[in-house]
Amino acid sequence: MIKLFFSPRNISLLFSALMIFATILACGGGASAPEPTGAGEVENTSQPAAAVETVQPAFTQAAIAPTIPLPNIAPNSPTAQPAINESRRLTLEFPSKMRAGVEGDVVRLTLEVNDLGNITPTARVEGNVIVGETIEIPDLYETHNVTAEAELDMAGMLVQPSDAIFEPLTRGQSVTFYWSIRPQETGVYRGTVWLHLNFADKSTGEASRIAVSAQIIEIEAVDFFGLSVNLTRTSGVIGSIVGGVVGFPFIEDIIKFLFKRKRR
Amino acid sequence: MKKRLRLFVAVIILAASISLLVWGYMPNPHETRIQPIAPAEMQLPTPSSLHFDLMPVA
Repeated sequence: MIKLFFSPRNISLLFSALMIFATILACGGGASAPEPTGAGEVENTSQPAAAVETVQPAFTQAAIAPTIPLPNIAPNSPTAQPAINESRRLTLEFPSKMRAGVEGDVVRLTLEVNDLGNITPTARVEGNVIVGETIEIPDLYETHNVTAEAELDMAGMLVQPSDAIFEPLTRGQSVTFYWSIRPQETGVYRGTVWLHLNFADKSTGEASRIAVSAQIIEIEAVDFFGLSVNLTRTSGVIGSIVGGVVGFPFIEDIIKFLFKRKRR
Repeated sequence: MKKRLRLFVAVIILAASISLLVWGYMPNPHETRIQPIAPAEMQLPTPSSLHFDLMPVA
C-alpha cells in the first residue's frame, strides 16, 4: 500500500493539486486584504475594477461617486407643462355656533385672485452665481377648460345642495360656492369642505382632476336650556307683553324715580 | 307693599323675556379661514407621480 501511495502518478496528482491550491490563494489574496481606513488610501490603491466590487458598500459609494457624471438639466425646456400663472386665495366662512331646529345658515367658499401674490421667478445655481431666468409657461386657461368643484360633506345636518357644485374658472375671475345648512338637533357636527380643480384638454378632451383643499369644519348646534328656537322666541314676545302690562301702572312712578335720581 | 311686589314681578318678567328675545334673534358667530393657494398647487397632475409596478412588501 505504501509503495502504491508514493507512486509517480500520485505524486504528480498531489503536486497538481498543490499548485491549484496555491493559485487560488494567490488570486484570493486581494479580496482578503485588510480594509482601508479612509478614502485617501483607496485612491492610492491600484486594484482592478473587478476588485472594487467586493469591498464594503460605503467604501464603494465613496470611491465611485465622483466618477458618475452629473445629469445635465435643460434650463429652458421647450415642452414646458401649461400652468395657471396666478396666485389665488381661498376663503371659507361658516357659523361656528348656531341654533338647532328651524333656523338655517350659510357656508360660503370663495376662490378669488390674490392681488398680492406674484409668481416667483425660478433661479438656477451655477457654481457660486445665481442666475435668474424667465421661463415662459403656457397658460393653462388657453389649453384647458378649468372647472372648480366644491362639496360639503357633513353627516347629520341638512345640507343644500348635497352634491358637488361646479363653477367654470377663468383667468382673473373669482368663484363662490354657497351651501345652506340646518341642524335638526343639538350637538357638534363635523364636516369637510372639498375643493377640486378639473382640467379638460381643449384639443384632446383628456380630463384630469386634482384636490386643492380639504378643510375640516366644526359647527355646534345649541338650544336655550332645552327650549327650541321657536318656543324661545314666542316666550320672549309673550313675556314682554305680560311684563309691560303688569308694570304699566308703575311707569309714572318709575319715571319720577329716575328723574329724582338725576336731579340729585 | 303690594305695589312694590307687582313692580318687582314686572321687572323680572321683562328681563327674562328680553333675554329670550336677544338669544332668539342674535346673529350666529361666524368663523373665517383664509388660505393662500400658490400656482404650484393648481397645476396639472404629473403622470410621473403614479407608480404602477407593484412590489411585494416582504
